[in-house]
Amino acid sequence: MRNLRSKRNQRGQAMVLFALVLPVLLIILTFVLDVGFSYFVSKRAQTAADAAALAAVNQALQQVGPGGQVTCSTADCQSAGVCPVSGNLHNACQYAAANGFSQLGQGGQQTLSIAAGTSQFAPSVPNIPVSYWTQVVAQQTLPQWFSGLISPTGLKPAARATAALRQSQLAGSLYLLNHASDCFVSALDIGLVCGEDFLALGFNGIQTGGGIYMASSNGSGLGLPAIAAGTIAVGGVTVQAPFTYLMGQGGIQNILAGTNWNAAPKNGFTDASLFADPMAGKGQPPPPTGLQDHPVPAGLITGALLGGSPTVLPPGNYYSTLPLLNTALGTPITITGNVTFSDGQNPPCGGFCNYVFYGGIVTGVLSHVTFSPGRYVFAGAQPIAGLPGIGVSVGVNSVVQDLTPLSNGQITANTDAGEIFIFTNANFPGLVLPAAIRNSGLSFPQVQAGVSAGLNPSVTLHGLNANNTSVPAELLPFAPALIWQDQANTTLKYTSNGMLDLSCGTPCSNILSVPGSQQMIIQASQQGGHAGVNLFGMIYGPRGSWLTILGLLPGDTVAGPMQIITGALQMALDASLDIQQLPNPPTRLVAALVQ
Amino acid sequence: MNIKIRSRRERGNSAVETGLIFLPLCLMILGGFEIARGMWMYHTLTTAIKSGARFAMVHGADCLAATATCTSTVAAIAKTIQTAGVGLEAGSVQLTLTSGAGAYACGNLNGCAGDDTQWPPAGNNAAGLPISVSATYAFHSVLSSFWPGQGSASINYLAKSTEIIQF
Repeated sequence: MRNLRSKRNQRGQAMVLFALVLPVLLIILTFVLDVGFSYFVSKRAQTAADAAALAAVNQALQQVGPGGQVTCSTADCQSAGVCPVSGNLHNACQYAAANGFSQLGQGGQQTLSIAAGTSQFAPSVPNIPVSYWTQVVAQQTLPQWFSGLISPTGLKPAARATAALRQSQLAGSLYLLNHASDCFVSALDIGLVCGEDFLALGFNGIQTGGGIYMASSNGSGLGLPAIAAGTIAVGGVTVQAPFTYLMGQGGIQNILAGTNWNAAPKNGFTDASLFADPMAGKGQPPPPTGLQDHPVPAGLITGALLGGSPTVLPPGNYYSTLPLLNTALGTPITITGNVTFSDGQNPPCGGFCNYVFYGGIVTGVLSHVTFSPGRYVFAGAQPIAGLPGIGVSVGVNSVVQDLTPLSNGQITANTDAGEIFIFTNANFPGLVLPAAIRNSGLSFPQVQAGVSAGLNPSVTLHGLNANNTSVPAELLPFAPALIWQDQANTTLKYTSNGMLDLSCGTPCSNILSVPGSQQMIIQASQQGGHAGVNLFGMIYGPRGSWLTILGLLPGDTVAGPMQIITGALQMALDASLDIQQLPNPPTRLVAALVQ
Repeated sequence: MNIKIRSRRERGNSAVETGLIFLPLCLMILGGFEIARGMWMYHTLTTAIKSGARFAMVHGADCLAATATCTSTVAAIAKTIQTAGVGLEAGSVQLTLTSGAGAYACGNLNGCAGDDTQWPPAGNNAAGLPISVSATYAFHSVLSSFWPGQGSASINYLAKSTEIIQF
């Protein structure tokens, strides 16, 4: 009986214990389920916000290009709010949705707030000046499963991401833009090659103050027409650069050659925007208008004797003509003796002169040609034996210089406005043709850009100086350009606003009327143990073009503070390239998450 | 009498049953709890490591060029991981940071939090370069105490996050 009573007394114990433990279990459940789910949602929200913010600025960048200007008319701007129905912020919302977040998604639990603007600083991101920013906040109110027991409002995990377009100085010395899909006829006589950024033939050297960017993702050992991003063929090359970055699997290969490339090239970069044409979206430097015509009979300009005062050649349109008849010949203008392009005043032309040449110019043996600060347009030339006409050809032992001389054999910064040499054809947008050219019936296709030369030239030139007030406002965005190759003179098609034409899905092809005109040539030389060709500024060729540095003798060098942007760089025979860093490098827009 | 006899016969039944079931039941409950806790710690670890990598990717060379206050150090990354990794034993997290300069093992989170070395290092912190933050975490389960000689045993979790430097 006592046992029975005892058993009866114990009835309900488990229930009491369970009742006591239940709240503790519920709190644990609350923690595990609600907080755990909150963690998960918060991580997903961050991913969605990051993707959305980046998508918005990337689309804005695609719309204006790295060299463009972003405003609220070219990209969406709004205070924090819901997604617009179109534009780059709409694109952002699509990315957020693809990552599981949308306005009123998950049965109305989610909110997606998106803001964008062009103020100098993005909200809550001080000290980082930007051109355009997008801020995305993704939040979700979680269902109150158990957390309601300890919190009446429930959990609302949220994440914020801020992405921006910012002006970033070009840190590199060499930007080699050709991608794996960009093809042209090889200088190695092996037919079409695709993905070439660098080719060295002979014994060459490169020294750069900034880094090298190579946009081709082709590694070594590929079958033609694919070729490695860099090829050292026969001879050897020494490269000294703080860094060499290659996109994707890009690599350097040696063919019967030795290479000393320091620092070692590094590939694996996936962000294609780093390797995009930094000038894309800027458009092109406009030509001068309202110039006087200066027909050159028989295409001959005979300058003063060396040692005397130079012959002054005033601003204007220059073209060779038949003597007496004034009919345009289309042949190059040959300059001998000592001449200067100037109006004879000090400073010349009030600080900035304008010239347009049709047919290109050739300087004679031992000639001495001085270019005053200004804009020099080489608007087409007649092909010779199927080869492109040359824009500037410097004669044997000739001097081409501007008003800032070398100091102890070294180039120094210019304080004047500097020069820009634009190499193009007679169809360059904005160009006003002289009547004689217009009526000649001759075509003036693309000239070969750069400075070709005979033996032992001396060339000293400076690019546009943005700090000088004489530089016309329309040219300021292009400073410090010294050489500008027309974006129509390449195997890829650019639009009128300077963007690659992607309407074909990939960059559209451009058929050149004179094959090979897209090659720019700069001839290296030496003078008294120093570099004979000294350039200060930016050398620009569009993607799909290439630049050949040609050296005839050991020690032939192109030197100076430069930034070279081109499709591919070819070094031939005995050429050296000594690039110091520009004091005021150009900038370009880059897109990135900044917080 | 019958009741009395039955009661006597059943004496100790519950004790025996309890004795039989108690240990497996405890192990099952504890096992379930520990597995859940283990998964929890693993997810916390991955979230924390992802946060550390995200911090580093927006503190690259461009950020540093924009403002000197944007330096990314091993300590800053470790503290970001600590903040995001609530519940992780800092001494059990062994952190390794990998950039183009190679792997940098700074030890456990406590040690890393006092390491002011710049990371990613200059020259390997340019936008577009990949970086990785990885960690091993020694998860100590209470269950190991029940295994003779394995009282201090642990399971090593590995978490790794690779990002491209943005800025």
